Amino acid sequence: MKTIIFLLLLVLPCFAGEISYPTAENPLGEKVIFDDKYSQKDFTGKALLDATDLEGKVIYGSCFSQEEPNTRVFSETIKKITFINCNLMNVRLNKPGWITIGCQETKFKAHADGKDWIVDDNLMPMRKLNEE
Amino acid sequence: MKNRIILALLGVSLMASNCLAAMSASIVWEWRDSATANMVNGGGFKTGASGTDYSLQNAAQWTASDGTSTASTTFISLTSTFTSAIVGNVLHITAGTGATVGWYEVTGYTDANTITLDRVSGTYTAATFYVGGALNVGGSLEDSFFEQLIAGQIVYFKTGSFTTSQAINTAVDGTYALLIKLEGYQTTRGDNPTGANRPDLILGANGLTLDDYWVLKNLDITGTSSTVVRQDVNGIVHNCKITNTSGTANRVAHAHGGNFWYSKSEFSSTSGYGIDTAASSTIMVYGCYIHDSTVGVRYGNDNAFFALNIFDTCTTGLSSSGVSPRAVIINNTFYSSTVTGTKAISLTSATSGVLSLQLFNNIITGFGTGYDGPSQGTNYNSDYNNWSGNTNDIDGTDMVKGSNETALDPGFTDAANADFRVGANMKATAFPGTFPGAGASCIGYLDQGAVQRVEPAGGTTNDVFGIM
Repeated sequence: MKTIIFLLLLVLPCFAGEISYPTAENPLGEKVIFDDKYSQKDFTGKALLDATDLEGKVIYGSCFSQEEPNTRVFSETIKKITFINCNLMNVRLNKPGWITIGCQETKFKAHADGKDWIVDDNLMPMRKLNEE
Repeated sequence: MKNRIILALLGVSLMASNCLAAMSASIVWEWRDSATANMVNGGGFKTGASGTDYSLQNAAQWTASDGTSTASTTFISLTSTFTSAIVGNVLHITAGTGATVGWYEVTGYTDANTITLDRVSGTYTAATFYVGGALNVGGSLEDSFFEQLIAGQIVYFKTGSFTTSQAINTAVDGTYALLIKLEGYQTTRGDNPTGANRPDLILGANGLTLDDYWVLKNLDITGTSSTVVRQDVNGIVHNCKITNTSGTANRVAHAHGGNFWYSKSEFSSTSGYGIDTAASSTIMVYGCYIHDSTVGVRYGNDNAFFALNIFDTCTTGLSSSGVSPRAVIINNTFYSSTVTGTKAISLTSATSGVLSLQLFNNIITGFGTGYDGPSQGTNYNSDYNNWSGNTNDIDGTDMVKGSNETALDPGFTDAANADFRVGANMKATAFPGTFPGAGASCIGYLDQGAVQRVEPAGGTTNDVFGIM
């Protein structure tokens, strides 16, 4: 038992970060423990299909934005993964155990005018992405 | 009766002034990636106020959901225990029926439950509020935050990673005297971090669109939108790195509306423009590294000044979209490792005879064409440039070289790895060497290209300057 605790103490502090996360129920914030390796990082345009250490991870504040709708970024062998405040625009998210909290999940596509347009499920343009 | 009327008028007048009051231009904001998420905290403190700056911590100093006010600047929370140290901090109301959500300056302390805000915040009894604590991305208030800034305010970003949750597009202007500054720091405000020590703003497909008189300093900003960062007129970018990684054609890393200064910054746009302004404007680019872009810089019709920049591996280093561009291009290094289809300077949009160009002391090497412009008759002066390794230094008869141009190996230390220090061939070969009318010993030694030799050795790096 002592050995297990010692090992946990060794491992946990190295790979975990934490943040206070306010919710409607608890505006004062709840502590969220997240994975350091994949959190608060820029993975724009990158695929993590070969990553073998994502199972069960909580990822906070990273950008996985892709340029083509429904791009596969994560292996579908992952059963459970949680994204908090991540940019998941154009990322394919089709597994029931993949939880998103406060993430951007809009689909968009570049059109002939050179701008990005938010698209519907049929990839039909709805409105420009960066115009109010 | 008269007294009552006077008092009533005075009351109305005071109420009106309260309603019209606004946050101070002296408020300084703090962003930290370790702070409470979703932009809920107060995040600001008025420089010189009597209280204690609680924006330099991760969590709010006071937060509760019983904020009460009755159409006045008086704010009450019976569950809180305020102290006089609250004065000068920013109170953020995030929710509450009847409350006008937003950031408010605490201008006065009455007692442990009662404070004064800079303006009326509505009539309510259960507002959620936060005082102090730094701001952090997430939620839906990032754009709102930028919309409520006031000319003269500074927003500091402590080194860290900020993935924005929405497009930011603000119409707020600074002024000539009161710029709005977004400034990164590493450990202490004003420490001017460089390279990877600058805070990262990760925008994804979201753009950052700012209006007039904004300054970006010490920030690393990446994105893929059609324009990652756009500022309107009279702005400054200093010691920043702005990158557009999109694979879509003609995307822009940084664009502006006119009269703009870039210094000591890095720009690249994989499939488009590092810097772009189609408008007529004055653009000054000094000491920048512009690389790996389809076009390094495109400017419009008006006056452009480029000095001591490195244009590395761009299909076209410098171009114009205007019919009458005017440019001073001095001591830049234009480098390409691919000659096919590449141009260092392309001013072909100019109408013959309208272009005004001063081209001195540059190194232009490795291109298909060094200079391409309108045919002869143009107003130009070119001399003391070093042209080497280009298929054609000049396209056709577009320009006649000066009598002191060279064609030597610049002797870059390691161009493939962006080390453009020059060899002895470029040593003290640039203009001017002497200054007419000055003392006989007043002789300058200027190398060709952007990177000057350090001889005999040493010196300071002068990474950033602190006047902005």
